[in-house]
Amino acid sequence: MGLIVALVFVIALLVSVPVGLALAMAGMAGLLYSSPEFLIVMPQKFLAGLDSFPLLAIPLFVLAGSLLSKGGMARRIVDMALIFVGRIPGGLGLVVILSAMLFSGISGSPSANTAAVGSVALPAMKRKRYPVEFATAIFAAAGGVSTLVPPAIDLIIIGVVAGISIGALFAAGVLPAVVLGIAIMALTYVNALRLELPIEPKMPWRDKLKVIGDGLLPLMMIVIILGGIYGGVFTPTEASAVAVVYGFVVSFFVYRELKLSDLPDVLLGTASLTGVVMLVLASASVFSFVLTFERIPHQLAAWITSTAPNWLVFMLFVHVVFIVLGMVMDALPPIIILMPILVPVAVSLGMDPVHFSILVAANVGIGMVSPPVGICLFVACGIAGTSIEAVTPRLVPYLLVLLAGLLVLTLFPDITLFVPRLLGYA
Amino acid sequence: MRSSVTDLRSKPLELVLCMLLIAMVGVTFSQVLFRYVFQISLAWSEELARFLLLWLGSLCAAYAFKTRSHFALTFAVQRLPPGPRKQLSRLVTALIAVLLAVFAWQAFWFTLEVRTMVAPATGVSMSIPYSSAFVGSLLMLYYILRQAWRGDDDEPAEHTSTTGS
Repeated sequence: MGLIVALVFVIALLVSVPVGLALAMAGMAGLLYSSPEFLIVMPQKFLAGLDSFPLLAIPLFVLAGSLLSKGGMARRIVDMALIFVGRIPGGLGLVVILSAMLFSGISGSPSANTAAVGSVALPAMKRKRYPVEFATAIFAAAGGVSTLVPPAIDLIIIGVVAGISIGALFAAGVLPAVVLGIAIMALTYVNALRLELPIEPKMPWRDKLKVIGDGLLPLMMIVIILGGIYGGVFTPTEASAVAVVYGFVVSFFVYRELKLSDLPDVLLGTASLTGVVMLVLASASVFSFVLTFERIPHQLAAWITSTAPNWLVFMLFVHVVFIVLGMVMDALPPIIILMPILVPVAVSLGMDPVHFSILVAANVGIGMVSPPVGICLFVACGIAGTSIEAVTPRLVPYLLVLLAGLLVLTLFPDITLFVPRLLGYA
Repeated sequence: MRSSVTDLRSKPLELVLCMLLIAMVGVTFSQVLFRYVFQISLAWSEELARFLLLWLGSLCAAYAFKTRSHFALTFAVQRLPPGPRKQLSRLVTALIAVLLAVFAWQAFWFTLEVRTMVAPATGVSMSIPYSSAFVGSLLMLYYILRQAWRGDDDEPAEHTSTTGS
C-alpha cells in the first residue's frame, strides 16, 4: 500500500495538482485500498491536523507583520539600518540584509519579508547604480536567513508537528541567523570592494536620532514578543495576539499611515497565506495517518537508525534530501511529513532535537533562495523586474556561503544551543 | 484601494474571514488581558480560539483557491503542447472534484456523528467546529469548478506579496 500512496502522490504532483490536495488524494487512495469504510478518517484527521492552539500563532504573526508593513514600517527599518551599516562599502547591500533580518523579527513570512524590504530598498539601490542582478541576489539571500529569526512560521510548524517547545526553537534560531547574516554581509562587503560600490553619505547626528527614534517602535515589537515569551508572561500564541494589537496601535494611532480601509486588504492577504499553510497541514495529517497505519515511518526510522553510522552522516543525508526537495518544491510538505519521523531518529543518534530542527529550518531557508522555484528568489526577481536566469550567476556565491554556514552550524551545535541553554530550555 | 469596506459587503466569504481573524485576535488577546489585568483565567478562551482556527483554516483554504495562491508544480505540465495540456488540465480538475466531493460527503457524515459530543469548556456540540471541514471542502469544490468553467483569470491573485511561506 505504501507504494500506491507514494505513486499517487508523485503523479498528482507532476500533473500539477496543488500540493495540499495531492496529499489528501494520496491519503484517500491509501484508505480506499484498505477499505472504503475508512474514508471517514479523512475529515477526522483533516480537522485533527488544524486543531492546535499553537498553530493560531501562524495567521496572527503574519497579520501583525502586514499591519506594520502597511503602516510604513519597512521604510523606517531600512532608514535605521542605513545609520548602522551605511558608511561601510556596499552600504545599501548591508542595509538590505540587516533590515530583512530585523523585519523577520516581526513578520513570520520570509516571502512577505523579501517583498516589503525589497520594494523599499531596491529603488534606492537602482538609484545608486547597483547592478540590478547583484541587488536582487542580495535581498533574495537575506530572505533565506529569515526562516531562523523568530517568529518564523517554519519554526512554529516544526514545533507543532514534532512536539518541540516553540519557545526553545525561537531562542535557538537567533544566533544561527546572526551567523548566516554576518556571512552574507561579509560576502557583500567583498563584492562591494570589487565592484567599487558607493558608500552612503554622512548624516547629521540630529537626523540620526530622529530616525532611530522612529524605528524604535516597530523594533519594540521584537522585545515584546521575545521578552514576553521568555519572561513567562505569555505563550508564543498569546504573544502573536499581543503583536497584532501592538502592530495595529503603532501603525494606526502613532504613525497614522494605516487607514481603516486598508484593513480588509491586510486581513485577506493574511487569509490567503493562512489558507495555503492550513490546507497543507490538514491534508498532510490525513497522509501521515495512512503512512502510520502501515507502520511506514517506523520502518523508515528503523532502517535509517540501522544504516547511519553516526549523527553526522545522518545529518548530511538529511541536508541533501531537504536541499533536493527544496529545489523542486515548497518546503512545507516535507517538513510536516518528515519531521515527526526524523526528530526521534536524530535523538536516538544523540542529537539535540532543537539543534536538528534549526538545521532543517536553515536548510529550508536556503531552499527558498535557490533556483528554480525558491519563493524568496521568485519574489525578489518579481520586484526587481529581472529573471531568475539572470540573477543566478550572482546568487551562486551567496548560496555557497549559506551552505558553508549551514555546515558550520551542523558541526558546532553550541552555536544553536547557546541561547536556549542560557534561558534554561536545554 | 482594490478592496475596501464597501467591497466586502458583496463578498460574504471575505467578510466572514475578516471577522474570524479579528475574533481570533480578540479571544486570544483577552485571554492575556483577563489573566493580568483582572486576575481571572478564562476557561473557554483557548477552546474557542481553536474552534475559530478550524473554521478559519478550512475557509481560508477555499479562499486561497479563489485567489489562486495554492502551490502546485507546473514544470512538467508546461513542457506539454497546448492541446494535451488542456486535456490534462480538464482531467486533473475532474479528479480534484471527485476527491473533494468524496471528502465533503464523508465530512457531512462525520459532522452528524459527532453532534452529540459536547466540547468540555464551551459546552457546544462538536458539530459546530467540525462542520468546518464540510463547508470548507464544498467551497473549494465550488471555486475549482467555477474557475474551470469560466476558463482563466477571472480573479487573479490579489495578494501575491504575502503568499508562500
